Amino acid sequence: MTALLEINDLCFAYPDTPGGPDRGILTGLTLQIQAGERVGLIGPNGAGKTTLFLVTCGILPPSRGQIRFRGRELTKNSFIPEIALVLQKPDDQLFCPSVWEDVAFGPQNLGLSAQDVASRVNEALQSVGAAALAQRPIHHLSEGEKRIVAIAGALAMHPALVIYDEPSTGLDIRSRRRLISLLQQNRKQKTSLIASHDLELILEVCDRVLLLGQGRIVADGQPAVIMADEPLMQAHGQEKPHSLIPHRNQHHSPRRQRNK
Amino acid sequence: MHIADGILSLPVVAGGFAASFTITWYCLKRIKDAGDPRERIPRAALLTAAFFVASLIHVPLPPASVHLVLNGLIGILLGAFAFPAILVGLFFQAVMFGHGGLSTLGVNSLILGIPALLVGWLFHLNRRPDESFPRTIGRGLLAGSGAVFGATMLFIGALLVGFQIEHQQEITATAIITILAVAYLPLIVLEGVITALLVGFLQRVKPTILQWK
Amino acid sequence: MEIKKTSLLQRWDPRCKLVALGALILAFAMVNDLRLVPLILVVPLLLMVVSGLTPAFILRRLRYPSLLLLFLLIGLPLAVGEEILLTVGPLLIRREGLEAAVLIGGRFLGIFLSALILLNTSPLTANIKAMRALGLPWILTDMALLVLRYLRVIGHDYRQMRIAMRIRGFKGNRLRLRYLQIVAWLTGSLLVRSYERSDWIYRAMRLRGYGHNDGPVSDFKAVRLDFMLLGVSLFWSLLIVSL
Repeated sequence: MTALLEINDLCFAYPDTPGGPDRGILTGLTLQIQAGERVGLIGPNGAGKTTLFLVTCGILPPSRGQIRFRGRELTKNSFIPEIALVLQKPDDQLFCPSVWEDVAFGPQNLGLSAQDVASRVNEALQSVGAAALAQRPIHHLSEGEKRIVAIAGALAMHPALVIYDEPSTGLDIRSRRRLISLLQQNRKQKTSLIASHDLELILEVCDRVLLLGQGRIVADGQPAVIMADEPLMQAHGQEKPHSLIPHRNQHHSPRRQRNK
Repeated sequence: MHIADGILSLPVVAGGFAASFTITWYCLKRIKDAGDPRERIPRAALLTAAFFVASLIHVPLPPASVHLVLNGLIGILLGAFAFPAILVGLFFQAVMFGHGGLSTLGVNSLILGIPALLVGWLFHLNRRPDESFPRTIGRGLLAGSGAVFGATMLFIGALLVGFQIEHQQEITATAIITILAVAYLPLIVLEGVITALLVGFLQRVKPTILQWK
Repeated sequence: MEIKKTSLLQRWDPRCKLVALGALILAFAMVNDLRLVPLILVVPLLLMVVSGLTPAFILRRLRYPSLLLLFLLIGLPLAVGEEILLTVGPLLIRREGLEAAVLIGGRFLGIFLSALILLNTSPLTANIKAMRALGLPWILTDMALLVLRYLRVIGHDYRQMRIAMRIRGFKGNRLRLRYLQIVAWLTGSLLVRSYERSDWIYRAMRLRGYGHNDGPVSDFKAVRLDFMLLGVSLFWSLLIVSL
């Protein structure tokens, strides 16, 4: 079976980087993601997570290497509606006057009929539990609502792979919890790739984690295994998540203890 | 609608600077008369920067593509700050990209700034904050088209006055006017539509921005 | 990156530099005699040598010329004048038009290159502060400094929004009402965000004392060399004007 996303020896350097492509942000990155997986991507600031996403979506051309999506090689500037990217700052995505119009923006670009657009928008808003926000001006939404709407805008494209760039930054506890249950939903159809510094979120949501360092994948495996490897985590500017540290006092709730 | 260095004769260059200094001085006086300007400076500056970025947007206008001018909206949003804002913006365009020129900074700022001031004043004339949506859009359409139309007229005027060749022929002058008028007609329509849509957006999303001056 | 360590022009006091530039620009704009064009062009050539700027940098900035200028430079020799100098196929090159084109081109290169070199040998913020020191109203210079500071930030916002639009399949290459509406929404969002950001900027400035005094007095210091360079520039400008 071919992988959903297959990246081979990917290099990327911004044009003004001294020292050529080998000194770039991505230096020979290889990874495969199978359909239905929920993959977390961790790594320090500036490790190249956002760059990797932009290259994967065809926004930035790689300096070397290939990206295959469903076995088809991506060329420069290709637009693949099956890959959706939710940017780090929802304000960067939301530019329409109202929620409904913003979620409709993508489907309209696919050339769908007005009826299909409407049904996709309603479906996307419902799936994130934001149907009530449809007519609200974007401008008056809270940070958490903006995030949810941005995700709806991505889901309305009916993507096979959704990439989330730092989805939990700036969210309060309740919005973050809502985001986590949203990310845990519909695992069957949607493959997701989630970059985050919120390691507890990755631990709860993902079944596989990739650690990015010096422009390539330095570790790949089960979140609980990789994140528990303290020397590895510290070598790449990470911390072992609190919940993986053995506790003298059992202060976590019994439900989460059972999940572990 | 920028005139580059070297084209205009000295009296026009000098006159352009004198006139734009006078207008700037008058605008600054109006700004100071309205109370402490410090609160409004960051606002005017940030909007100027946003307009600067927006002026880099290409709009396809077959057979070519054009940059947005938006001097009408600058007038609407910035009021008396519009002229200083245009002056600052043109200075940066000349210094950073070589669009326009330093010697023609005065003339170029008059070309864009005078229509901006006029249109801004007309837009707010007898306008109530709760004015109906279609009327606001209509005002935006007229303001956008009017400002670019005015700028085109001033642009042609500056060229005719400031561009002297020894044996100037009637034919060349007429040819220049015709070519420019035909070239700018679609832009006048386009700017009107864009400004109307923008005013509509702002009225829907952030009405206070249209009342701030 | 563009400039070698410290060239003479980099050490030149920005206030003197701006006055010199102003004088040169006016003198160049005044030229109406073809024979003076070499006197104009020698200035940017000399400046280029002492500036330490690489020729590649200067050529890169000349790459996007004004359409109007091109139109005149090509059109004038073909359309204006009676005396025919040269026949190239069906085209007639006329003397008067060619002279006018050379004059315009010469003035353009003189003004454009001198300004480019003189302004690029000091940081833009130093130039703006020098203008303030020379008596430009503080409202203008405060605005200019803020515009400069936030241009990149807003430009970054704009590029991010374009990326988000492209990911959702937006291709803006046809003129339709929908396209114009999207452009208007995009521009409008940029304006609203800048407007709101400015409130926070003002509050932050206020908290750190903006508006409580007239700001620091300029710390420029002109020495004899600065005035000598200024003197040379003024002399050259007067020479061009008087000839």
